[in-house]
Amino acid sequence: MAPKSSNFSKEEELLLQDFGRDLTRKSSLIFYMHAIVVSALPLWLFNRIHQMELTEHAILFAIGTLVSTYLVASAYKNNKFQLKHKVAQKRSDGVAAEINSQMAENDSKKVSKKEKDERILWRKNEVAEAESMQLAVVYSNSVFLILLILLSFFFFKSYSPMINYIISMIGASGITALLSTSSKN
Amino acid sequence: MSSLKLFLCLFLAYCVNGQSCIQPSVSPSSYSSTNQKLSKSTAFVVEFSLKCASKTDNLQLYADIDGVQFPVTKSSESEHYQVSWTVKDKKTVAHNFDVRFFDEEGYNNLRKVIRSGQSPESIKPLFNVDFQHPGLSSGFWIKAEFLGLAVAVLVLYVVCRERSQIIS
Repeated sequence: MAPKSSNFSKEEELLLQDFGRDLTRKSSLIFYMHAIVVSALPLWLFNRIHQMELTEHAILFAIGTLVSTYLVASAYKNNKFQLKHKVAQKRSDGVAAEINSQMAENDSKKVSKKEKDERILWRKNEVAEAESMQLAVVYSNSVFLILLILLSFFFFKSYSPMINYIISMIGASGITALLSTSSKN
Repeated sequence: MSSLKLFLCLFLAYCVNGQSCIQPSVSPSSYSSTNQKLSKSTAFVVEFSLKCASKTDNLQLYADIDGVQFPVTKSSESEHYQVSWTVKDKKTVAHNFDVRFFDEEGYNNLRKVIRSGQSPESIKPLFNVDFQHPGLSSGFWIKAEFLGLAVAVLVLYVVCRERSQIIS
C-alpha cells in the first residue's frame, strides 16, 4: 500500500511527481494527439486497399480509432515511465556539465550547492521527460504499425474487411499496450 | 390515296428516326485491364452516354473494333450504353483503339461490305470513340505488403537499438 503523501518532504514529493507514473496535462495531451493520429492512419489503408468506404463504416471506424487511441496512449505512458529513469541516469553527467558551465559563466553571482543541485535535478527531469516521451512514442508506434501490417495483410487477409479491421486494430493496439506493461527490459 | 401515301411516308419517317440518331453527342469513358497476373485474357470496356437531336426509343447500336463487331447494350433507365470485349492473347501491347459505332442500317451496310470483300472503312460510322490501352504490366517484382513489412522491420530495428542503448 502506498504511503501517505504527508510523510514525504517537499523534495521527495517533487521527485515522486517527476518520476512517477502520473502524467502532466501537457504530456497527456501530447500522447493522446500522437495516439489518435497513429490510430487514424490505418483508415487510409483499409479504405484504399480493403475497399472499405469511410461513410458506410463510419461508426465502426470511429469506435476502432477511439479504442486504439486509448490503448496506444496507455502504451506510451507505460513505455515512458520505464524509460524516464534510465534516460535520467544516462544524461546525468551531461546535464551536470551543462549546468556547471552555465554557473561558471555567471561567475559574479554566487550560487549555493543546494541551489545548483536543484537546478541539475530540474534540468535532468526536463531532459529525461522530453527524451523518454519521444522514444516511447516512436517505439510504440513502430510496434503498433508492424503488428497492424502483420495482422491485416498476412494473418487475417482472407477474412472479410470488417472482421479484418476489428481484429487488426484491437489486436495491434492491445498487444502494443500489453508489451508495454512488461517489466523486463 | 394521296393522303394514305402521305401518312405512310410520315409513319416510315417516324420509324426511321426512331432507329437512328441525328447529331449524336457522346460522353465516353473506358477501361482496360492492365495487370498481367490477374487474368488470362485482357478485358476492355467502353461506356458512354448518348444524346441525340432525334427521338431514339429503340436505338440498337453495334460496335466495330479492329474489324470485329459487337452488340452494344443499353441501360434500361438512362441513355447509358456499354460495349465490352476480351482478347485472349496475354501479350496485348499498348494500342490505340478506334471504336466505331453503327446503328442498324449502318451495321447492315457494314456486313454487306465485309461479305463482298470490300474495305469496312468505306462505311461511315454514326460516331466513334478513341481510347488508349496502356498495355499489360506484371507489376513490381515484390508485393507491396512485403515491402511495407520490410520498411517497418527496419524502423523497429533502429528504434530498438536506440532503446536498448539507453536501457543498458
